[in-house]
Amino acid sequence: MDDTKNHASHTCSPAVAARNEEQALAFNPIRIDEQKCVRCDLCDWICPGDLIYHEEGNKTKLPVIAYPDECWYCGLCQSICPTDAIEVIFPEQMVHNRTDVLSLLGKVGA
Amino acid sequence: MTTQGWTNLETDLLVVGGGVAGTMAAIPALEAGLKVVICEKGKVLDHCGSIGCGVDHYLTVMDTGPEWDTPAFLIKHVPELTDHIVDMAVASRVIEQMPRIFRKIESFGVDFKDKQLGTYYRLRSFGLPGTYHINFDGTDFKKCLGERVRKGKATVLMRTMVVQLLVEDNRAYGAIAFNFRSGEWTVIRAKAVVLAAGDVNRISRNASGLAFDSWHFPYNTGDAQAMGYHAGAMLANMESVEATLTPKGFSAQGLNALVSLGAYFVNRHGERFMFRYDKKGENARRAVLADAGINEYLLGNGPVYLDCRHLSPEMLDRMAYTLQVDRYTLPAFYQQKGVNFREELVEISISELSIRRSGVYFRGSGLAVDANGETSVEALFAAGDCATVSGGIAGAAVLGHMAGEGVVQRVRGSSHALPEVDRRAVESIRARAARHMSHDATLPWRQFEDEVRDTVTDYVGVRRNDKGLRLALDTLQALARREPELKADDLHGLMRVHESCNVRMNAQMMAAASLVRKETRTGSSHCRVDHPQTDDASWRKFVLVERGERGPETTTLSVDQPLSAAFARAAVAA
Repeated sequence: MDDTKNHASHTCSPAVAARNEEQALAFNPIRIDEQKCVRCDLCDWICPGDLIYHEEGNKTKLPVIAYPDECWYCGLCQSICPTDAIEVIFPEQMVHNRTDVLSLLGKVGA
Repeated sequence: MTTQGWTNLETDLLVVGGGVAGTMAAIPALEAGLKVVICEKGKVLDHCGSIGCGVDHYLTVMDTGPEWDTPAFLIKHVPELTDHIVDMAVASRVIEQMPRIFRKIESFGVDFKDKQLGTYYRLRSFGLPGTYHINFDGTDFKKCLGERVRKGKATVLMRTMVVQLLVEDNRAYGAIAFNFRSGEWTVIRAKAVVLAAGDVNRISRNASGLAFDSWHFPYNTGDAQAMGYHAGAMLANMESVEATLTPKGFSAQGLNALVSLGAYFVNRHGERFMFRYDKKGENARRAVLADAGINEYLLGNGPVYLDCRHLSPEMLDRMAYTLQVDRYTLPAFYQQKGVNFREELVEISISELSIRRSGVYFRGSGLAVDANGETSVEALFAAGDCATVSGGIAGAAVLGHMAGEGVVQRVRGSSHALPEVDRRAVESIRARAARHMSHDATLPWRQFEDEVRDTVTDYVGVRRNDKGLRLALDTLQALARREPELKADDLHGLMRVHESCNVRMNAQMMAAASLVRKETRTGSSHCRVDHPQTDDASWRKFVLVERGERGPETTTLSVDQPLSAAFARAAVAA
């Protein structure tokens, strides 16, 4: 089975972990319900950006959103979660966006 | 076998990218009994590489009887659909193969039929001269393709990024890759390589300011185009940039579903403006829709809104269902925003930019290929959004399959042994990686990428001129010199560092090609404000990009010729 090729358990570096705490608040891409989560590895397995880390087989630790600012908000983790423990939360700058679209259209005048 | 800290693998075909094009390339190779290795940055083969989800539309000619449904009819319209910048030799072959590949995918168990109608629900959109888009529930589309590859016993290396191709005497013989979870390096020797790693994203700013909030997959970073460039492959159409219209704040896909099911776009005055830009209105090509949106904002008619209020409840239900197949979280976004698209206007933004096919079918921006999907480097193939004929899911499927068949011919036709692995290349790339992970590296990849995005947005985006492009090229070249300083906090970061370099490389190619094309073509896809007219007399030409001694070098080629006319290698014997 192709998907079991690499088993190496991996945790992100302490420097990364420290930064994440702060970023999780700013980008809060997903919320995991501690009560509902069965620590099954599926969200880690499916995340296309390699953002969710869960030590395989560890039934006590919650999955970690290791790189919150790299989330695509695709919700694949939410869709695969067997106990509906995951909810995608869009940050404020997405939900109530105030960017002037003209600022995206370049600095070159006619 | 492990020697000096890396694993050696031998195979017939190496596929880079497990999306639609990559899996479809693997299938004919497996059918012919070839050994196949697929490297994929994600961990599953069950989702599309461009959007990571299901598929809601599939563009195909079906040859069911009416003239419009024949390959010949669609082929006749390709020059106007591409504003005449197209490799007709390859595009024609893709279209001719469409019915056969469609039936083949159906035979894998994909159900293209509408469950209520019991037949195909075919829609007209994006300026195409017929109802070529099948609207269907393609949630399992990619699962069926992935299943096929697993059954064929391909070796799949997941969470694995290919970082450099192995090439000798203009012939590819494998690649170097690493697993960003385990840190394991693999050197794969192969008789042929198919590059199918998708389009280029994370290349400009968007409304939310979040680099990874992109319309297409932010994890597609032009890896194939950059690696192909470094390996000496030729690229074309790199000046053409693509934007789309998205709900403001969330770069979600779904424009095809919206326009094919009858949505309108209106400006702040309530005017349905698309007809001012194209007689087909909302059914115009994506490039025209995006260009119209951009112009309305530039004219001060923004904000632009999506208007679905006139649609019947049945159509709105279908739209709501289709949109969430494409992007699962879009309903949640509307809900958290407190907007009901059935009854209210939804504010629309211009998306960030990408390099793909500039809102036009059959004209891809990327690696130039011949009618076998082979690039200018022998035994190096490309398909999907990284190749010069791109046409969404169907384009990826058909060109992918053609490339897979081309590989079979190439492998069977070549008898000479593969070169020994260039150990110095492997050692040098590993030493560079070690430096990125060391304390000597100090430049955060996020900051580096932001500088690329600002440069592209301001000077290489939807409005360009000579001065701005030269400024951008200087900045992008200066950034290239800083690449050795890029810092990776961990193995995951090492993947991002390589992606950042690839994004920058693609931005530089785009700027170089844009500087050469001194005209405007396909609206905002290549808008030179200093050359605002389309100049058919001088510019029915491809701009080609190749690696030179001091960076990308450009040449041009008349569109009367196929891109392969500029290739130095011989075509494969059929």
